Amino acid sequence: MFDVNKVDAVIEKHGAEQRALTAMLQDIQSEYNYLPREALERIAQKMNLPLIQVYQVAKFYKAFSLEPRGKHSITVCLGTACHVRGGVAIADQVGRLLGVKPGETTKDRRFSFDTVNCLGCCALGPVMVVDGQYYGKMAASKVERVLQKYMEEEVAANA
Amino acid sequence: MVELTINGQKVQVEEGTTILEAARKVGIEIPTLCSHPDLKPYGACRVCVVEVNRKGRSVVSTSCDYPVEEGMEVKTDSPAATNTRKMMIDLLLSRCPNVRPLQLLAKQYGIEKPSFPTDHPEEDCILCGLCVRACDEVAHKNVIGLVDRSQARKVSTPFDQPSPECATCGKCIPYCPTGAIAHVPGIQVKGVGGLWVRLRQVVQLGLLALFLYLVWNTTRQGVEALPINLFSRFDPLMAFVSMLGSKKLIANMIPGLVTIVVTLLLGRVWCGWICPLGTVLNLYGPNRNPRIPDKLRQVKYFLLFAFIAAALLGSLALMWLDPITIFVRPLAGTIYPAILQKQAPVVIPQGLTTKERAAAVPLRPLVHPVLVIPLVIVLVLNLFAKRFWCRYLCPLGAWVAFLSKFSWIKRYVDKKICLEWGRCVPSCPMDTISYADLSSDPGECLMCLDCLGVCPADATKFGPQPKPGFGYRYDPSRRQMLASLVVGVGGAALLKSDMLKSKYPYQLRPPGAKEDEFLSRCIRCGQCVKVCPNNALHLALFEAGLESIWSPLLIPRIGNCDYDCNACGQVCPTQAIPKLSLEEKRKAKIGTAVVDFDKCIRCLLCVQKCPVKGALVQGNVPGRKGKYPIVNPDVCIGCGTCEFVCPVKDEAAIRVHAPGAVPRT
Amino acid sequence: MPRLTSRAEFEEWRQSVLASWEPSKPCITVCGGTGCRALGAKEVTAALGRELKKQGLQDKVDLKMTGCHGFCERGPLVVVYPQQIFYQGVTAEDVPDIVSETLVKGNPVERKLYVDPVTGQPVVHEPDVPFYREQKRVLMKYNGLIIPTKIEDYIAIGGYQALCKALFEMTPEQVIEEIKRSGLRGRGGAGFPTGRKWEECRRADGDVKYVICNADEGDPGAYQDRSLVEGNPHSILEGIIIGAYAVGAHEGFIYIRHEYPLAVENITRAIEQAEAYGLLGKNILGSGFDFTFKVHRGAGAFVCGESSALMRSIEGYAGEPRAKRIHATEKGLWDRPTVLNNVKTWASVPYIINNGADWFAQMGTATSKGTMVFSLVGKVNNTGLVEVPMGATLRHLVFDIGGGISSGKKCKAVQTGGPSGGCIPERLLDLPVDYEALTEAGSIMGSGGLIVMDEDTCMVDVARYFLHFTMEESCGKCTACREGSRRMYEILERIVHGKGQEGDVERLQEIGEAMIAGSLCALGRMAPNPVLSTIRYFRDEYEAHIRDKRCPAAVCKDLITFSVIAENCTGCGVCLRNCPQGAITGEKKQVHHIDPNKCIRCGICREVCRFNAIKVE
Repeated sequence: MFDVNKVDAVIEKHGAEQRALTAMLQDIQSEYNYLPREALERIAQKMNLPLIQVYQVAKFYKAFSLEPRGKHSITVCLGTACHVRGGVAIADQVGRLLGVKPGETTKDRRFSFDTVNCLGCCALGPVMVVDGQYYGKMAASKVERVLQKYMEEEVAANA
Repeated sequence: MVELTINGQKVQVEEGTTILEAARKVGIEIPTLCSHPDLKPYGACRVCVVEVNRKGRSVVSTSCDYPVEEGMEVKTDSPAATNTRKMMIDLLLSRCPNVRPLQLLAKQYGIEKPSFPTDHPEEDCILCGLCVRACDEVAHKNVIGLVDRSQARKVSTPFDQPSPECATCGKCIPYCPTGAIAHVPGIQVKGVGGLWVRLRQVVQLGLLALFLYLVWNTTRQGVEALPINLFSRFDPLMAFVSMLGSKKLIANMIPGLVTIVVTLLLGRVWCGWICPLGTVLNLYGPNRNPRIPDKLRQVKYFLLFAFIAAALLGSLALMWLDPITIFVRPLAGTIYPAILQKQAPVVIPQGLTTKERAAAVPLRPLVHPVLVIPLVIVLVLNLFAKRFWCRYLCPLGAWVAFLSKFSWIKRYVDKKICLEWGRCVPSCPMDTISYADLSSDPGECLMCLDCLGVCPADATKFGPQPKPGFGYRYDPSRRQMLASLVVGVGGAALLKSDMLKSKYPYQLRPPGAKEDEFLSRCIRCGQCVKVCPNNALHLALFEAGLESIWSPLLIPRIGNCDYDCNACGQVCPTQAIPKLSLEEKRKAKIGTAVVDFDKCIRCLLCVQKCPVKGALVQGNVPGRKGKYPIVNPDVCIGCGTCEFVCPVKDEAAIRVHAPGAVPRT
Repeated sequence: MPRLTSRAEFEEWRQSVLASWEPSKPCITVCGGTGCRALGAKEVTAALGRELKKQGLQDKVDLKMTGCHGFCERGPLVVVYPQQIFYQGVTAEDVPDIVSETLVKGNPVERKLYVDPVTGQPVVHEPDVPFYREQKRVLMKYNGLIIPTKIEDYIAIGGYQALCKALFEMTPEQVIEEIKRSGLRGRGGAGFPTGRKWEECRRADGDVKYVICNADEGDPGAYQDRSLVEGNPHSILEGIIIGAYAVGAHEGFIYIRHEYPLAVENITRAIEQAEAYGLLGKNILGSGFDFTFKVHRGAGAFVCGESSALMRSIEGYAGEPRAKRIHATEKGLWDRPTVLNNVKTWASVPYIINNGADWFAQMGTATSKGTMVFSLVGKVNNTGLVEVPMGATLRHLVFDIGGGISSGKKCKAVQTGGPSGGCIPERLLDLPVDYEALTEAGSIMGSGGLIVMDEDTCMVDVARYFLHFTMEESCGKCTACREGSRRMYEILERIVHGKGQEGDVERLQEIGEAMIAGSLCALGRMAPNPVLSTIRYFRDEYEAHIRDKRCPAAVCKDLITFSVIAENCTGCGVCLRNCPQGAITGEKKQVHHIDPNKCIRCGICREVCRFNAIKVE
């Protein structure tokens, strides 16, 4: 649930200056896993900034999402090294299995799927990351097994 | 001051000036889509690129945000600059293929159609950011912004929600070069034009109602209380032609001269705002009909010059083509009588006394269906194109159109703030707005403001424009003028020639009118017919000669001229029927009664009823027994009371003959 | 520890640190770079800790999780000092052996040693591994030696000595002169002389000036900046403080990608420590010089690597570049004079101050001095970070250090400079790597990514990949970049889908040239490089796609077919089970068949086939 005090605390922490805007939004994103509209409005109001400026920043940077994200985040690296080693096939396979396109979240909000330009572990390419866990030297044929693990966990947790 | 060279030309400008500004100062045009003198440079469209040489190093760079430097050499059309600019224009056109200003700019650079396909041909935002900067720098609102990046970039309000501030602001709107601003949520691109159109409609319908009211009240009583002939008197063609025909200043028609002056100031407002027929024609019909050639507009000028030529020879025979008369005649001669006929018997009972006759109000006028024909034609033509009549045929229209070409105020479009190129084009009831450059012929423009009404940004302007509006294919040419002069002069001469001249012995004109002068003034409007309480006046068809078509004749057998009435002279706008006092009128000679003693049954009803003392007396006729009515031609004024009351069946035994047509006895 | 308020106090502290630093004490280091962590370095470290404790060695042996060693291909890496015994691919299961054999007995564990693919012999000591042997490590030298989050480790290797020297022995002008003389050029890619930049900023009017460290390492395939920030953050910090002193700045920022959480953490820790010791903040070491330094995390926008966009981003706006009519050194961050340098540039500074400009200038070529760190990735055997003097040849990098092509196929090209760079064909591999030579060849130095491509790499596909990248990362402000990249991408897209038309190559060149001339910032101006350079060197591949509808590297899905090689197929059925589309049919022990209409060319069958029975044409 959205809590205005949390946002106020974030503003307090960074100081109500334009330069701190990105940092504030990063904190709010990690708190809520997305940027609730109320939070942006609160920031604009408290910092005396035009709302459009806050909105622009939120829309410009890829790290921010204005929509709630999935419980698990799947990232496939499409850096050059991963690309030449077949990263696209991994991404295609993830997209096919989850039925979503990069940047989207599954309807049940279980998985968010993104591609990233480079994770900087090119030696492991192609790389896929699920919830911060790196899966290096991936192959399209291994994707299903990796995803299966998270789906099963989910089922186990529910049971 | 900084000195630099632009296209080999030395330029001195103040420090801090941009290359773009410096170039404009010396008249070198650099195209640009995202710069505006009110706003800070942004450098987004990249169309203003030029080649800049500094200290021997040459680069292609935008000129809008590049401050001049001493010794800088700028080439605005070097191959490198032009190629880059051309590609930028092509890229933008490919993004927004249907944005007219882009199409025009592309054409200048030889790009006929965009090089790259698009899935969204309706896209019209070129992301120049002018609106956003206007919002920040002019309106100081910071409501809209360029949001997101790459291909998703767009102008938007926060969360795409309409902002209440936009509803009252709208300062960004005139800065948008493509009309895309209309798609930003909450921004109301509604010009003030709508109010003007509303105003015009109110004026038009009000005047139409007044016109109909006046026609309805064209009665003897009405003439005393109301300015019955108001519309005719303001008719600028009537004024011009009747004065031209009679070679006299007609006091009654001075309002028509006022209309001419107004036209010279404001253009064709007569047609757009006042003309009752125009108002009716404005109500229906398609604005555009590509099957009708533009050339047809010439016809009205042809008619006008023929009119003028004929008028110079003293003939107004064609005035039945004036729109006011087209409209009044059927109302007075057909529709009004038809309505009254429902309340009274159709047949005129013979043998009533004058008094009995006068008491029988409402009168029983004759219905003349033929008078409706011109109006019906005009109304039917309107189905093919709105204001077909006004566009192609109306001689009055041609007259004010000609004047309007010189008018002080004219319509034009400020293309800099035009938001939606071509939206005004189909709105024009005269179809005179050119899609190519949004210009219009001031001669065709009715100042109706419909184009302003649909203009989303009030880019349509009505203001002083010194240049006369000629140069259209259908403009009157010298050859055409000559042809119509020949037709006009020839026609008038022919009508007045002995061959066609009327030899009708009973050609009686309303009281006070003299035949020759009358025909050079009468505009065939029919108002005298309508006002005549005795239903004595009727519009001639062919009986009085071709020149007299639809001019009024007094037909005593249907109704006599009331001795106590002078209404026709009051209502005649051009004073073809002189405005006489009752005293004068009683002495005005219409004709002379002549008795056919063979037919006379010696009832002497005529003598009894004759209102003029001593005009008709009892007397003996040599060779005949008994008392016969005897006319004293010097006293008789030809009012026709005798003829009217004569109980002889069919042709009366006493008939009024036109002056000069009295048989010698 | 109280703040140090003078050089004497610093010296005293340094001596005490050195006293407790025993070079001969056995030490076991585990590479803690992101790559090795992903491969399980944390588990290995934990296992080592447990094992040492178990064997009672915890006081006798130091255990360190260091920064990135560079040889990411073989991670997790473990090095045992003082012998420098080098283990690769270590897992928790190997830990007991390493402890009992190497630490207790001093013998190497044979199975975890690196085997030289040329000689077939195992290599025991780290410096003898060809990957390291051929390098000249300056910036990366201490990455494998120190704990990045421990300031004492950095002090022990001579850290902050250069700062002392600059603050107390040199005037700002002398510092700038030294940097100028060293010939150091910007390591971000453009190669602007660093000393001149500093000088311009020093001379610019105004009391408020800024220094910025650009760690927004956005080029895909480059991660050396991350490794430096992760592995030796103090060296960067020291360089920045010296730079700030030289230009007269009192506030600085490091702009770092949020995708690099470990780097953010380590530099933040380093700043805290430096502040605690009085190396940052008011009156640094009593010199009277004040300097504060903050971390600004990026939020995922490649364009923010461009300096004007980066500054805009720090100011708290969307990172849109602005026209650079006036140098940032006069009007930069908040319109104040600003020096912005890359991580490697700043990191070079302390070494130059310590060792002198001449020492630095003797490395490299006539115009490009010092060393450069490259990330060697792609189809190369020894993926990792390598540091060589400027002017080393690409061939040396790929074959001598990189160990050649991983697939055993022929090298086709090397891509340098990321999305702004170009592809250099195999025949130009003897090119010495410096700023000018790479630009000459149609590429750029960039931040140092080297992506090796073999015959299985389709150059049109690579160009399309990069254009897609720039298109997505274009801020969208200017027509040239936004629309140009989109149209170039569309054309490339249709070429790889076999729908290319005659004249497409020329069209690409036309748009490319207009983008180079007409774009607002470097992102757009350089975006056509990958396309133009591949057209320049591999035009035949474009033509094969357009005219023959054929992808010579068998990459472009629409131009290839998968089929079964009947002689090799054993009918095992693995491909059939794995095919996501059910496009493969066949009875057990019979030759299988791929239905080309159902096949989506995902390549899974080829991956899973153990008999090399899937053919791609």
